Formats: sequence, C-alpha cells, structure tokens
Amino acid sequence: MLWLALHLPWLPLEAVASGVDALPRCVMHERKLLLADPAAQAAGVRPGMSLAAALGLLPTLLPLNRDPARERQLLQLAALAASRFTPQLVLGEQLLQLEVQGSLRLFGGLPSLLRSLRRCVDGLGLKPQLGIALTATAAALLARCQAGAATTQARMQQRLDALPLQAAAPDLAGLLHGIGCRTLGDVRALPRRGLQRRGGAELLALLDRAYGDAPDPQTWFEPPPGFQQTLELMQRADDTAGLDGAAMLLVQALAGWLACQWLAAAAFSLWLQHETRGRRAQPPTRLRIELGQPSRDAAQLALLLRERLSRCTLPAPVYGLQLRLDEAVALAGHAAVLPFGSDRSGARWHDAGQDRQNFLALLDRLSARLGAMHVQRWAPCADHRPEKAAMASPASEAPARAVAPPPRPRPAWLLPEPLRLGEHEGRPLHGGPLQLHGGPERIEAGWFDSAPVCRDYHVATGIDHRQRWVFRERRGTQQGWFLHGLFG
Amino acid sequence: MAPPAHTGPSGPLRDAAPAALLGRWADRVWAGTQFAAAPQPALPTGYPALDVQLPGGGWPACGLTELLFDAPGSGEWRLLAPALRTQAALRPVVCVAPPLQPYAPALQGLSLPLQRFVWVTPPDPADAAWALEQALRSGGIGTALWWGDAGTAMLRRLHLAALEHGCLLWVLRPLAARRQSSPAPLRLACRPAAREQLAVDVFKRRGPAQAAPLLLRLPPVAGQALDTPDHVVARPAPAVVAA
Repeated sequence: MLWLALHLPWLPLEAVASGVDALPRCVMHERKLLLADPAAQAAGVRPGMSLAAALGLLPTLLPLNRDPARERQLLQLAALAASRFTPQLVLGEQLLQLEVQGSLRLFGGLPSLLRSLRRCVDGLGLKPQLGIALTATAAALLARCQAGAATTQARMQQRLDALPLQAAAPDLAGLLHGIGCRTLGDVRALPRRGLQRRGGAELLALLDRAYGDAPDPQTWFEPPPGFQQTLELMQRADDTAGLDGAAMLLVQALAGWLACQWLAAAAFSLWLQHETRGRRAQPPTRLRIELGQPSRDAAQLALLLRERLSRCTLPAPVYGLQLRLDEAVALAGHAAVLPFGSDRSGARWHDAGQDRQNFLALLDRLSARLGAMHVQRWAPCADHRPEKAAMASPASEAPARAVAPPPRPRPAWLLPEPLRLGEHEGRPLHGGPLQLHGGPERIEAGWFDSAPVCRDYHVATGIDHRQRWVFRERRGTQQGWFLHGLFG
Repeated sequence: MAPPAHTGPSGPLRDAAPAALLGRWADRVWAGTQFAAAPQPALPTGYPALDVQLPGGGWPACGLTELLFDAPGSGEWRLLAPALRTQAALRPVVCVAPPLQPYAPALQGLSLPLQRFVWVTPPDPADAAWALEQALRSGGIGTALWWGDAGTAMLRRLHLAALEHGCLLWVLRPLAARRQSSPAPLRLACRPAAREQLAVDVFKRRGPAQAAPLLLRLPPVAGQALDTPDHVVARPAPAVVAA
C-alpha cells in the first residue's frame, strides 16, 4: 500500500473567498478567528483571536463566515477530480487520502503521478500539503506537518519519530510535554501500559495504525451513480469571464468521475442559474455541448466548454452553475500507438486511428466556437432542380450516402440566388456579352411541390474567359436570362 | 582533362565549370539557373506542363502555396482537382471561407471524395485564421484551402504550422496581392484564357524566374471542348435545340 494524503489547510478560506479582491481576509468560526491568509498573518493576526483584536491590528481585514457545507462540497469535487488517479479514496477533515499503489504503473511512476495530481489540484484552485507514506494515518500526519515522503518502512518510522507531538495528540500534548516528551518517538519509548492507564489509549491506537502495527481499515469514498454537480458562485457573475473558475472546477470533477466509471462524455450541459425569486426571476440557461468523439480528457472538455461560454451572452447575472452529464458511452481507453518516426525530415508515419481522433476533436472544437451550422459537409442529393441537388449537414454527423453525379456539366460554385442578367439582341450580358455553348439542358421539375422549375441551362463564356452557368426562365412572371453558377 | 573552352557566359563554360572547379562540393552549390532541391517529394499537379515549372516537379508536399485568382470560377477547382484527389484519399481536407456555395454535384463530377471535405464558413471573418490554425495544428488533416487574405505575419504563422504538421495549405487570394510580400515559397498568378485555358504565371519559386506565363489546357467543363462557337439566341419557348 502506498498512500498519498492531501491536507488542505486553506480549505475554509478557499471555500468562502473569491480570488479577485486583494484585501487581507480571515475566516471566523464561532466568534473566533479560525484562519487568516498570509497577508493578514504578516500583520500579526493569529488564529484564536477575537475579531476586535484582529481588526485592531489590521483595519482593512475582511472577515468571512465559515461555510462547512461548501467546504464539504469542495472536498467532494476534489475527490471526484482525483478519482482519475485511483478508485480508492478516503475523505477526512480537510483531508483527502488516495491509495495509489495500483496506479503507479499506469501513470508512469510516482514522480509522474505526483506531477499530474498537482496539475489537477491546481486546476481546482486548492493549495494542498502533500504527505506520502505506507499507511493512511502516517500519510495524513506527514501531510499535516509538511514532513514529506516516506516510501519505505524504516524511513517512515524515522520520519514519524521526528514529528512533534502536537500533530497527533493536541489534548495530551500539555501533559506529555511536562514529562519531557517532544516527539512521537519519545512517546513510543514510554511504558505502554502506564500511558494507556493515564488516558493515552487513543493516542497509542493512532500510533499503532500510523506505524503499521495495527490494521487501519478505511471507509472508502463512493462516487455518486450519475454526474450532476451544482456549485454556487461566491459572487454573482455579470459576464461569462466570471464563470470560468467555477466551470473549470466542475469540468475537472466530471473528467475524474468519467475516468473512475470507465465512461466518456458524449453530451453534457452546463446550466446557468439566475435569480430564482422576486420580480427578476429567470429560468436557468442551458448550454449543451455535444462531442462527435466522446472524450473524458479534462483539457478537451474544458476547451469545448470555454469556447461555448465565450460565444454566449448572459440574459441575466448568474448565481450558480450546474454541470450535468447527459449522455455517456463506455470507453476502456485508447489503444497505444507505436512511436514510429514522426520525425520532421523524412517520410511521416501516419497512424490512421490517431489521425481520425485528432480530426474528430478538431470538428468538435470548430463546432463549439463557430456553431455546428458553420462546420459542414456537402453531399449531392437526388433531385433534378439545381438548388435542391446539394445538401449541407453538420460535419459531426455521419456523411450522407453518395448519389450518382448528373451526366451534364455542373458549376463548382452555385450562387445563393439566381442573378438576373441584362440582355442584348437575345444574348445575356454579364460583364460583356456571353457566348453560349452547347445545350440547352432543359430542367423541368418540382411540379409536385411548391418550387417548380422550368428552365433551359447553357454553359456560357464571357469576355474574361470565365465559364458561367446561365439559364433562361421559360415560364412564370420573370422570364429572361439568369446567372446561376460559375465553373471553377 | 582538357580545360573547357571559353565561349561566353552561355556556352559550355557555364555548365561544365562548376562541376570541374567545385569537384566534390558541386552538389552543395546552388546555381541561379537550377531549381532548389525539394526537401520532400512533391505532389504531382496532374498537369505535366506545370510540373516541369515547379521545383521538385509538383506542388510542395507541405507548407503554404499561394494561388492568385481574380474571382471565383476562374478554373481553380480544375487546376487543383488532380492533387486534391490524391490528398483527400489519404487524409481529410478542410476548406475555410469559400466565397460562394460549393456545388456538390460538380465537385463529385471532378471525382473529389466529398465525404472527406469539411467546409468551414466562419460568421466572423476574423475567425477564419483561427479555424485554419486549429485545423493545421490538430494533426488530423492533410490539406487545407483558404479563400481569404491576411497580413504577412499571419501567413508566416500558418506556413510554419503547416510545415510543422506536414499539411498542405493552399491560400487563394486576389490578384492584387501579387505586389505584397509573402512567406510562401511558391506563388502562382492564374488568369483564365481563351479556349478553356489557364494562364499560369509562376512569379515566385525556388528557382529561376519564369520567362513567360504558361498556358495550361484545363479539362473541358462540358465533357467536350467548347471550341466551336455555337450561337444560341433567345426564341419564344419551347426553345429549339441549337445545332
């Protein structure tokens, strides 16, 4: 067993303070100061002070009330995000413990796992202290005292022996200090039975669990069966830039949850919650993101969400966000790609599967920013009318079935509307007289619906030698020559 | 070995002297009359007459190539179709900001696999360069076409992105851009000419300047040449098929 413990000393502050204002801040709990940020600590503000004393030292101090519910929620989101590293997680008081022995190989060793974990936690906006040990209790103690890593039994014992007593038993510390014990090692050297009789039973049990002398059972964190997480904003957001931090936090949690469940998101929605009471009540706004290629990569999901957010304008200020997973597909992981020469000079080895994934990710990215109707595929349709012989569909959908091309010439560019041409001596004009070739090709169709067409088409060359597709309307009110396309 | 006779700048000296004088460094010296060696095998254009005018014998296999056309419908699709067919068979093609609606039956008639083409029409023209760069850097496409115009800095950025990821990028710009400098190693100005020909002026290439524009005969749009003038005049309907 190898345990990573993330101790979150700043969690009460991170849960209630938004990062935008630069004033020194502190968190109050039961009329006592619980935690002060570094700027306030530099001015002499200490935990346990009364608010009046703290304000006397630092008049600009901004007191905030502790919000235990929000702390629990943040911790749960962090646990969800960290689920991608291991399914075995334990939540504690300002503490997150991960059992990672089984994940080391997948993530390429402990240093590489730690790098990924640090990146993930940075994305959540948390500042943890890290402890690594062979038992969960020892890892938590090391994290709390910032005593670093111990991956062997001997080293762990040595590290634990040197820890101050305050970390493990704050209530007994006074008594034991009196008899000359300063560290955990000193306590372990005391006669065990005597200490047990004098109220140290709990401390001894804790030490046994930490040193690995007693079993250390844990209550594992159970991820919820579906993903639907709500996060209230710490201050109302009037534009989408204010939503970024909270949205990224939810996306990290979603990516972790998906990895833990072996799923990939095919569609998810971000609901923006507005004022729900009073005269300005407004139903929540929904931003739905669909992925052509289901993914559980946090960076890819975050990028799509950012693009979508940057395109939307808020109808009203936003007070909260909810991220819901709408559709998911099972995804076991990507097949590994052999690192064949992707060198710049020589011939490139194209891996078709990787190319296809990159291409689908590109379509998602373009559609998210430009809108699905601006990233299209064109396909011919079986209709004689030129306007209806081609159809566009969003590129993320499967391409349409091929239709045999018409035997007669068709222009590469079609005008959105036929352009009426002038006429001189029975010949059409477009930048000079046009010379007609071949034809006519008579197209007469559409009598069965509301857009009948009755035209004679010709290929025509202008004095600039460009070839055009022109037609003469044979029926209807608008008889005469029209330009309909250009041969490319 | 007898020294070559001195017969003036265009005589045997010009051809024989470098090899004799430079010895084993001959292949490292580039003469102004030669084409630069292409770092990668070129992509045949499908027009042998054009191939001999291009360094490496075809379109550059990656990086930016500029084609200057006056207006859409000047023969650009027929010029690019043979190379596009080869490229689209390998990897997808992205077309950014086409000037008009591309007409699927016609492109299918040119044997282009339309299911491998993606058309990006950004509502805001400023997004076109962004979309293009995303496409080039994605590593998922092989060819990109852009109907648009950008400053030299943006073109250089796109050129480098295309080089880095092995993509072929064709930018179709108006003829007026000819006077602007450009990072593209190959620039062509094309004008339609009589009898379905295209006058191609390769005004920038890694090689000697082109003496005169090349007249390329494009495949006829109607399946047969439109040489014979064919006078069709308006008559009351039903029209008589012209001879």
